[in-house]
Amino acid sequence: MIEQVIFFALAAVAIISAIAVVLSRNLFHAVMILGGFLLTIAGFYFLLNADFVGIMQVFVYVGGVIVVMLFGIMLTPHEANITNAAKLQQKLGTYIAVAALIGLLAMIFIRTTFITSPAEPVKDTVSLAGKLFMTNYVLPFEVISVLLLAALVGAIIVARKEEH
Amino acid sequence: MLSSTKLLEFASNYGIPVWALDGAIAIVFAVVLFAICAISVIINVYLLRKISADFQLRYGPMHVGWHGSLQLFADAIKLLTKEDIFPSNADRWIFRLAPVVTFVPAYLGFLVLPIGHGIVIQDLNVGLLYILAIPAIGVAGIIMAGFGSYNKYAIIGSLRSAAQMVSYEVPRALSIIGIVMIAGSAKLSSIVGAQHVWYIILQPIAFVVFLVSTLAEINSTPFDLPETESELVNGYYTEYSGMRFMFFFFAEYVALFAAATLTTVLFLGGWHGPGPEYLGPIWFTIKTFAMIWVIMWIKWTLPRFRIDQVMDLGWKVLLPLALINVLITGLVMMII
Repeated sequence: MIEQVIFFALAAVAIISAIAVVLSRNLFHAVMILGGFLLTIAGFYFLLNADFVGIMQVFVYVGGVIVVMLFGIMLTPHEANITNAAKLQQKLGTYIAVAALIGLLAMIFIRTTFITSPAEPVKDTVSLAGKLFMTNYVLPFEVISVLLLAALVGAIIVARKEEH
Repeated sequence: MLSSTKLLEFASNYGIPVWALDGAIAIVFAVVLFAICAISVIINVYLLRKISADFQLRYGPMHVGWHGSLQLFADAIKLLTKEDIFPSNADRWIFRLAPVVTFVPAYLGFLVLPIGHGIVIQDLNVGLLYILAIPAIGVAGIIMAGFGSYNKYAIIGSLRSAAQMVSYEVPRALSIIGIVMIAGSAKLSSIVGAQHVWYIILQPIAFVVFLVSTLAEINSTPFDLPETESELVNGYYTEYSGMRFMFFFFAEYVALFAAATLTTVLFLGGWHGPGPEYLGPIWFTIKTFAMIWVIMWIKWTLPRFRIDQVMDLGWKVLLPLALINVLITGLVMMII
């Protein structure tokens, strides 16, 4: 019972903040609300007993992505309130794209049968995740580490170029 | 710790549902934690002023109470009754929310700290990750303060602070990996339980890296660039006054206290010490305050870095050191 109450409260906050992100005219406000939204997603993970994923959500998204986005906003020149009226063509295109996306998602939701597992939730998710990374999923794990290394090297090269 | 069997029996006798009991316990813990934080801040600020005075051959506060011991209460009352000023161009909501967003994460870190054997509010399996992730939310609060005040000093201060905190999170997290490898757990109580030998002895490189990056994380000198008085007035909270200023001040000292307790848990053997087990919290407190003293000692001894030196130290020295430490730990563990 209490879990359902928490779930619906979180869901309400998540939906309202997601709408607020899109409707906000101020970019800084939008990113701040996005941070709140990502925190509610972490709340969902905790509710599902996925504590490791929840913590990582906070660590990576709120602590990393949001802060980098705020940096981007603060270090680039921007108008506080941009009110460019969209052209009719742009509006039409947007509406069609959004309608198509909603239709697609609705279709996926209707056609999927969601499986519920009767198994007890795992207590120690960290050690289990670690073991799986080193056994079943060792190839994806290594590929991700190569990808991250490439990103790191790329960042250094981009940063060095500006010095010349 | 939550809902022990005796309490559950008591609740079922009186027909109290379990969730209400859990909620009540949670509220009690929150209040107690807040009280501990407040007391620690008062003690820390008093210590800071006295220790800094001692380092500079002064007396420090002397007039209010015995050796100025009531000075902090006088300061708090002064701050509480001060006018709450809004800069005319400030972004009101962001400006209002920033102190809360900065303060709450600093305070939430204590949720997983084991202060004695079995004395912990919520012993998470991912406790160590939690305690590293929570201050990350505080960075957003600092940026909010800088952006919301519409003041050049505040913006520069908050940008510096965010850059510094994001950069030093990396070596800080990496330095702890060696400990997780030895203890075989990310649960803070198991890490303390496994410390028959203090990890400061087993992991000296990690300790140095952790201590330096912790100083940077809590914006303490020699890393106090976010609020360099000589350049930025007061950094990201230049425009704040009264109650809101107090929140930032509070957050800073709670962060200092949290850093000292975390160092105690990770490197100084937590509650371990001679004597029976129930003395654990006392040993814990002694070690924590010794750590606070060390941090203040560094604070009043070293001059401030330049921002480029700070970044160089973080990325070019501490990060490789932390990685080498992981490598050495792994090799030694394989040989033994």
